[in-house]
Amino acid sequence: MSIKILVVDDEEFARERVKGLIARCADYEVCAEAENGAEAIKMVERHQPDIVLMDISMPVLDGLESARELSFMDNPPAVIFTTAYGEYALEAFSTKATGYLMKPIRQEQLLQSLEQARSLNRLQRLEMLEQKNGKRSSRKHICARMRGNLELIPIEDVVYFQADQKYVTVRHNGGEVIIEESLKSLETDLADRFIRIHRNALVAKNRITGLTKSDMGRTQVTLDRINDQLEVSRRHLAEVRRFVRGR
Amino acid sequence: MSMSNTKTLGYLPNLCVPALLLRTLMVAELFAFVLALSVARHFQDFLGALGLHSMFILWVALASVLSLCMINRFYRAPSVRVATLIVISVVLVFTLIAAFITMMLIRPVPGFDVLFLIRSLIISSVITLAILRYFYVQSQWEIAAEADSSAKYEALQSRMRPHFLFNSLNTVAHLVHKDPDVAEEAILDLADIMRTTLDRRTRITLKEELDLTIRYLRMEGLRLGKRRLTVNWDMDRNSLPFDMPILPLILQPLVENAIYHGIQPRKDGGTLTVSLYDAGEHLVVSVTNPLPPDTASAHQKGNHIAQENMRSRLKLAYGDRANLKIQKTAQQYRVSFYIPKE
Repeated sequence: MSIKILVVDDEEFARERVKGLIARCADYEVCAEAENGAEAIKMVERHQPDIVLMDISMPVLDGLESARELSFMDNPPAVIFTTAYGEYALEAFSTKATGYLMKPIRQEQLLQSLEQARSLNRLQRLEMLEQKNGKRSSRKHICARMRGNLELIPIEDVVYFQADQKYVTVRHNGGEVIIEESLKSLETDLADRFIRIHRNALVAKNRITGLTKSDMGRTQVTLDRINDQLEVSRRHLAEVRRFVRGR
Repeated sequence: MSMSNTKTLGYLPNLCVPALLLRTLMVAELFAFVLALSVARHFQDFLGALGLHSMFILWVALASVLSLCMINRFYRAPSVRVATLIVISVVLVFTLIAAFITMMLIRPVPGFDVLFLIRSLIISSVITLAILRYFYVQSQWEIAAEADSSAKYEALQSRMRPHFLFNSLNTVAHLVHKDPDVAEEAILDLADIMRTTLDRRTRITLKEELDLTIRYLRMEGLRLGKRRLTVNWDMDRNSLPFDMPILPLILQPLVENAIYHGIQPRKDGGTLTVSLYDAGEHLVVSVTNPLPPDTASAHQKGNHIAQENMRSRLKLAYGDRANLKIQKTAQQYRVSFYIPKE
């Protein structure tokens, strides 16, 4: 059985070219293509490719964000980035893995990368998508998958994240969605914009308007434009207070 | 732009204009004041000394400057050493004359005074050397400043984004198989684009800049596809001054920015409007693009470096006779500028 590849690039000719190159490699076949990072996630879910050839600069959702989403999947594909010119953002990714390909891509380099990528096991694939601490590329969206549909929520629109049991609820300007990502990883990615107020809640710093006491004597944050009541745990109270006063 | 042709004897400032002549007189008078101050014991003494010193020094300074201006007519750019020698000799000759006149005619007890002669010559050469040193340092500084501003000009010279080159080559790599004719056309366009960006002329014609922009848009059109890039040219081909000399690379970078920040980040692309019109004394140009989605990455949104760069280039090239302005509405982003017809 041949190895399935998803080709992702916003330029039609760029996709055509990669498809042409892959057609010349035995053992590999292109199972689908996508024009942007969001479409790529849908295609991965639908076609379960083994390898994704991912352009970096794309509209809607760029290659780096898309790859990050893919890394949350149970069995992610191996991702090989393709780029026209040294993107500094790639430094964020682990380099010991398959790395990336420079466009225009050479046949032999493509084959070499594909050979490397196909031999990776699940852990190695994950490791490849793992971003080094402190160098994470900036995250601009939260991706929520709802019955096969991908919903992209810009980070600016998110008011807070609240964890319960297995899921995290994302409260944003336009409503609520549920994601599977852990609060811990969200906190690491979004530390500059969000503050932890409770073991189960992460709130956008610029949406906190102040602190109040509830009837039960518990401290709560008040939020801009939203009436939801979020409790501040005793453990985080000092830090939240410091933040509110420090503004 | 070169300042060297306004110099006297290589490195002195242009002494032969009224403003500098006046300044020379003022410096000479100041010097006379200091000297008079140093010899006078009473106020009456001081006034007398000031008068005598002024006469002596003004005469030497004026005569020297006028002679140097005459010499400058015949001997424009001597080496620093020769120029210094000329100036010193001229000043010493006039000092000698002035000293003789003072000794023989003005002093209360006329008579030859070697000590006075030597003293005058030494004071005069020390002062002259100090002034020459000042002029020399200043001229070196001016040369450095001039080199600096031309280096700045070159650094500001717009450069094509490397992404454009590699993406274009990638497109061509595909077209070579699929459509060799289009591929050839694309390579020719690329060649012309590269040639123009490597050009070091300070002015090109409007037609050359338009050609470059059209070729650039053709390449981007191939890359992004017809669906994503529509270009709307708003200009009157019959009345535009195509032969007008303009600063090179002033339109193409704006178009490049508009595509990079406005068209490319949009899923379905958009329409780019390039408008040019002849407004009598000026040429008015504007580039309009739709806004990118809010969540476009920071680098796609741009950080205005390119526009600041363009502003500086226009200022260096045209001074206050050109202007660049940015308008942002809810849907559109427009950069417009006007430049004088030279």
